[in-house]
Amino acid sequence: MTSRRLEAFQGFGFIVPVILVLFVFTVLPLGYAFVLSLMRVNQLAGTYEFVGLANYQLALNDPRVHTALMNTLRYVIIVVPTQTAIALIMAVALNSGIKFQKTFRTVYFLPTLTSSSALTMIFMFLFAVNGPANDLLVGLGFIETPINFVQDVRFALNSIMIMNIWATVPFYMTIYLAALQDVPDTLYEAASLDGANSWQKLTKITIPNVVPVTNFVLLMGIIGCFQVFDQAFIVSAGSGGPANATLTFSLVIYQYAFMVIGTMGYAATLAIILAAIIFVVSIVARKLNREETLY
Amino acid sequence: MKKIARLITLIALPVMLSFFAACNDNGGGTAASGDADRPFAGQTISLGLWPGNDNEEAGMAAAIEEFYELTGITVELRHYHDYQVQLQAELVGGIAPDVFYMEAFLFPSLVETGVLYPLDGFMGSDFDANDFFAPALNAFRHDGGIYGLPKDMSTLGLIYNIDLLAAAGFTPSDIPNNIVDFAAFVEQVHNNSAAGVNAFVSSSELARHLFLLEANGTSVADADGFAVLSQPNQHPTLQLLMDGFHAGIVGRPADLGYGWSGDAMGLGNTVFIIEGNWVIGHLNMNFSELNYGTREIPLIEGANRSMLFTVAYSMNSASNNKEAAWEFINFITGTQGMYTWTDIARVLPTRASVADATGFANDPILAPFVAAGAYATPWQKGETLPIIMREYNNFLPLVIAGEMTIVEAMQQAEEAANRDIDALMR
Repeated sequence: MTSRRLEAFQGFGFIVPVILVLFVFTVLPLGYAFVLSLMRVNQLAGTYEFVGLANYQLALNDPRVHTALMNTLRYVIIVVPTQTAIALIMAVALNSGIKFQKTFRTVYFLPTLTSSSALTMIFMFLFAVNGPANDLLVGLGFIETPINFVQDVRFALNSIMIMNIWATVPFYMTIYLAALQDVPDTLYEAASLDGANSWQKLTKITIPNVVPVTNFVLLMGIIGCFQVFDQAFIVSAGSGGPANATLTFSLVIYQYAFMVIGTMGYAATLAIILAAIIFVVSIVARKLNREETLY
Repeated sequence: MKKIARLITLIALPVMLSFFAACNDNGGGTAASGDADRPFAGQTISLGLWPGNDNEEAGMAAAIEEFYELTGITVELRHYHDYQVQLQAELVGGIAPDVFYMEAFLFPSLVETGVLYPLDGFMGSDFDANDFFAPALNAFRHDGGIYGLPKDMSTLGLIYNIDLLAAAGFTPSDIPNNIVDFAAFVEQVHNNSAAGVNAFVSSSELARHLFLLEANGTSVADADGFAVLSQPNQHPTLQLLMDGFHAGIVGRPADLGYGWSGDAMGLGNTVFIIEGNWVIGHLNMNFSELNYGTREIPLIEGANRSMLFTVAYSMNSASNNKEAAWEFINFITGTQGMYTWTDIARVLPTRASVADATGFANDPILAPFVAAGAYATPWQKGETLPIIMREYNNFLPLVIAGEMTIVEAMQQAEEAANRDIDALMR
């Protein structure tokens, strides 16, 4: 055996475990989900009835799916830009050499370390009718009667948005912090000599230099937000209420997959549709935020 | 060549190891070495259940120990942390345990699929089915067969804070025994109570309201499983409750910052709650100073009514140890096993004779909950109940917030549920 062939053989040997794992746990389930999406399935009874694209047709005309999609889109459109902007601003602030910046970094990172279900429980307590948030707002005179943030149709989804932004910003902030270390100090020095103020430095140097990281943050944000589930599930106890206000796409999928028996096919259809939507939106976001360097 | 052989071993080893690990759980059905008295001695059966509190864990351990001494059959526990999802996955995958907890709510969906094995064939002529509270046993009947024996039950009752009642100028004997007068009484208590004390705290969801909606005989699902929620004769008692919310007399635990009604009661924040008997253990353990009493829910539409939450032991159709599995089910739901389990776990037995033997039937705090076992409405209604429940819970908050009337909200809930049921389940 020649050394070249041996090397190739070794190379394949090394990737075989990963390929196997990917095949078994990613490719197979994906393919299986697609097959299920073309069927009416009751896995327990073992009935698999091929229905073609009927599930897809049903999904396109399902008002609950429309509501879930609108809720999810609204969620993405508000949460993704907000969390990205806040994360960048906080990273810049914590990179500016202020006192105790290491302490701040640690403290800000704490929410990310906490499980989202625990955070949701804490938020539900904070935003309860007689919880601290309402006490504060009433005490300061902003509102007259306490607001039922979690159970009011107008506030329920917004409360979840705030919760999510608060919990995910620190993670992206850390990523930005790492990216900021790579921006050469010489650029800032040159800009200072040219008389640039800090706002100009931020917009003309910092932001263009971290575009690849922004791309990553946007992508992760979009994927995460489209899949928002646990907060909505806990707040509404799985119903998506009040009046579908917290019905997100992933929650609808869960409801059909696990809360009702015999609708797994429809759940798979919705999952495939969600994957397609995320794929398209991610591509568009990447195209809009071009990665070539500006210099 | 030697190198390659070593390489292959390196790659193959983890794969083989994981393969063995996956095959290893096939422990059931070990060879029997029984004698005439204990024909299944030496066998092992698996039991799927969710973890209980300390008392329940102790009760289960004691019952299994007794069962082992009696029969020589070992019971292996498999704990589920997400019961419905995990059990479904295991049943589909063909690795579900021989015996598992069967929630009454989930039962209709599962029994239809044939994954549960009928138990009638095992029951001898001496099997005393009449000892079980009828609503609890009937929850596990299907097409004339019995597919599960109820292990224990919970019912709803009225729990009141005696001190807060006294502060409002009343004694427990002043509590009226029909729901219309009771609603008026709660309002009086509210008016006489200090600020910050709620007269009534209520979790509002279909699992707590089913018996109110059906008090006049109209079921929430018709014969084909479609939702029926907007019939006016379903709403009189619900209307009383909603009026209470609108008047600021009734509150939901989450609105008040409590995880559930039990905490609101324990912390002395509410005079009344309607809760399941599971609250009793919670109050005794965490709020031992609390001076409280219990009674049956006041008469609704002229009759005693309550909700019944019950769980059975069911047998896996695919089990290889059906005889031994039956031995276990028969023991743990029999008079001896149920006594051990319920006495230590402090849960309500589903057998009237065991309720007498444990003294629960005469315990002043527990007796109202035991009594409800004879008439309560099981939390169960065919395979479409998950959808009906989802839409009811989805739209009820609008009524509580005063944005819709009951009929308006329930028409929407009914429509949304029936669209789903029609498209996906029919």
